[in-house]
Amino acid sequence: MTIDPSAEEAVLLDQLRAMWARRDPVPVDLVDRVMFAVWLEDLDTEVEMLTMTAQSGDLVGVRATQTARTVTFSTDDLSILITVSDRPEGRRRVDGWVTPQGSGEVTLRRSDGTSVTAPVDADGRFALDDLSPGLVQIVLRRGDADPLVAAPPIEL
Amino acid sequence: MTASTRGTALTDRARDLFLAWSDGDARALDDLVKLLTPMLWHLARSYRVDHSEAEDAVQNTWLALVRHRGSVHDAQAIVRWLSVTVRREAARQAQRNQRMAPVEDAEVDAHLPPVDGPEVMVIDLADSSVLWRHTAELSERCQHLLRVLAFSDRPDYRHISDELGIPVGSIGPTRGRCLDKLRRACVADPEWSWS
Repeated sequence: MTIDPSAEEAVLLDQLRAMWARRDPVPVDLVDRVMFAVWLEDLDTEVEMLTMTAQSGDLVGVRATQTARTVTFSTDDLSILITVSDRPEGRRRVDGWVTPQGSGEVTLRRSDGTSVTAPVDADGRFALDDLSPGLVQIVLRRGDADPLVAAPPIEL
Repeated sequence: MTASTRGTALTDRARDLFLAWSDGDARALDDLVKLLTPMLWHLARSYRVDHSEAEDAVQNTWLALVRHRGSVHDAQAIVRWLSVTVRREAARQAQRNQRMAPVEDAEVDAHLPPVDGPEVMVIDLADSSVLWRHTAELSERCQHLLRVLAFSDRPDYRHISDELGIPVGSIGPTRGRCLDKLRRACVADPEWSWS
């Protein structure tokens, strides 16, 4: 035993912690995705999760250079198709179509907890403009008796 | 800041956020997620699970908290509740993967070759610190135990004992042996400094 190995042990553990934090860092969007998941879970209401069934362009991960990207989210009896287009100064626009058509309200929630809401018209169309880029989650509210419908987070 | 003062500050902050969330402040849950997800990630990754499995373990842990918040009676213990849950999730996944070495042998002195977790731990010698090299030379069990201890706030030896198959009374000595081996290897390395 050398002089005061316990102090050296504490230093070593601190250095190990720093080392692992650097070598095997937390995935960049893990915190955001967890926040979306717990937010939905915390809503105290029934939520139906959509899955991504088709996409063109790169909505997730590395940003595509193309100006419009479309993605479809579906369950057995409902689907939402959205098109994301680039706007000046790095802003984004989202156009969406809900099938079967019917009015309602769509909310786009950002990972910082803020959200924007837009009406869905009787034809199932909605539009959200002048959006900042980043990870968002789309949530559709139809009739009061219907469960909320949520899509997995996507990168605008 | 030492490990223990860091732990205390973390525990107190987590307790305050948990209480605020329990009182109806939904944003406090976001802050709690931001505060503790890094720790939970490293606890999950100390098991033999890949990136996506570790992410699932972390996410399931948070969902479990939302679903079972009523079962957390002691706000002060929220960090421990989450730590135990994520380790249980990750350990279960690691067992499913059947990558975990058998745990009958509580001796850590057997010099196992370092076994890397999937996707990571490929050591780039040109870019590897002294500490990294010598940590990689430790047995897998040592690496796991040290990572759990490094990221645990007031580690719960009983649960670590269950997971690693090491008697509770052996965890302290095992920790000591692992750290001592690492410390000796580092100190003997001319490139090593305590800075």
